[in-house]
Amino acid sequence: MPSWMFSQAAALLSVGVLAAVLTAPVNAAEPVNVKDGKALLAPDNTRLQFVCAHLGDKPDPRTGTFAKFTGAVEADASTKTLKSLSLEIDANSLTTEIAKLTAHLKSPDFFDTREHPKAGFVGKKFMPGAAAGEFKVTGDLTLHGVTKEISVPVKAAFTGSGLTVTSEFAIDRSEFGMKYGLDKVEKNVTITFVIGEKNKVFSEAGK
Amino acid sequence: MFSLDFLLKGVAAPAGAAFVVALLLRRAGLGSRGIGAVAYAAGQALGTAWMLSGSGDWLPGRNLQWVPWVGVAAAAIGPTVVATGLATVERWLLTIFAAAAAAFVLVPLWPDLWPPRLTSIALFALAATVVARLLDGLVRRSSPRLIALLMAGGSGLAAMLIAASLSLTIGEAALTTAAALTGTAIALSFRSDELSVRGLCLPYTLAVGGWCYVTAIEPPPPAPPLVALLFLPAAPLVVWLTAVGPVSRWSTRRRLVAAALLWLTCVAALSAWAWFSTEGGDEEYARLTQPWHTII
Repeated sequence: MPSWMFSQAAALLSVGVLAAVLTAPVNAAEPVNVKDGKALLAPDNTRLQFVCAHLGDKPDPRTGTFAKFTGAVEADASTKTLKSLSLEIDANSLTTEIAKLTAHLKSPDFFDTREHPKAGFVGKKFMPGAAAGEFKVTGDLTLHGVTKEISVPVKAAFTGSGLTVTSEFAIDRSEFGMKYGLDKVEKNVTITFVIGEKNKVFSEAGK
Repeated sequence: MFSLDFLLKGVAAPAGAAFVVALLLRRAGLGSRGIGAVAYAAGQALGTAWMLSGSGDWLPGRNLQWVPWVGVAAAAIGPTVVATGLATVERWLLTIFAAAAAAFVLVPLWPDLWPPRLTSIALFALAATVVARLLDGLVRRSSPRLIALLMAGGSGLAAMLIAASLSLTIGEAALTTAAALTGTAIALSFRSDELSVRGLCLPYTLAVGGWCYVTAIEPPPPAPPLVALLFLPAAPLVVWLTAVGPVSRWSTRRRLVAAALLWLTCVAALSAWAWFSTEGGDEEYARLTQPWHTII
């Protein structure tokens, strides 16, 4: 395996243990229309990306996204609370800036999309956070055929025109059975999820 | 690229086991047609045991997990195919049966598989049968030592290409097969033994052909299959060009050199095809593939 490929892949996938930080600015998003308390999620209104870096002096982080996913969020605008959140991802729609890296990430070294073509998240508990609009969402994340319960910080903003939700957190890829190159590539992968932003998707040829 | 632990347990151990088993079987004076196949099976079994002990799940399940088991099973049939007293048609039928059984577990159930599953099974079985039978015929008309070494060399190259072009996980597993074949080939090269090498042709074809096939079809659409890999297991067949025609009248030494050069040219061309067919071709890719980029 050429080093560059290893490194890139590493860069993409990492994760950590649910140490998460809210960083993405909520006001950068365009509120998604909520009809009857529910909004449908798709790449044209939701950004879903992951970033992973290498270990060592040259982290060279790489970004990956999924071109196809569907989901839904339910919220109560009057009480400004989240009620449900679910996402089903077509793992084969994974894209990165580099075509060969995309192929490697889909291979059995990482996502093994032939064997595990679906990924997803189903929220189970929505606890209010310290500040208004902040929540701790606990749910089942399925990756690489492994389902684990995770808790992630979520920031939600309710406006007259709809809802925006932002979450950035890290997962430990090895906990989901992706143990390739743990000595070269970060095991922590940062995942960013923004309802209200269009997803960036790379073409199959990269870029 | 490969860890020291893997090189010791996944490469050196299977190669050493195959080598020792081949020597012991020869010393024991048992029938020679099973020596190569049994030695390979011993090395492959040890390599598979290492794979099972690691993080990867190599119990037969999805198509690629079947390859090492197919190799071991083929080692049981390989010596039977070359048993004396069998008619040619019986040898072909046995080979077709083994190749079809292998195809049944190696061809996946993916809905987007192209060609469709039944067609793929037929094509794999046909190709494997032809390659195995032509290799068997080649061993009888050329140097068994050379063919054994070319099979081992080709399997090692295939494993490296698999690791470099798609997946280190599959590449490592394929390298255990290559290690077992190499240990066997080295042991068989001490004394020219046509039957031992002939018995190895079927397990070589199904195991190495299996690794190349499962890797070639692994990239999900719209990525193209790695077609070049499909031809690699057949590379030793170029030696036929030195076994028939005017070259066959050359001196033994000149024929062997010509055969080796032909094989090297063939595998170099196939390797280049396999490698360049997976390139991205953009600036970022070019930067990353420069040799001074981080070495794993």
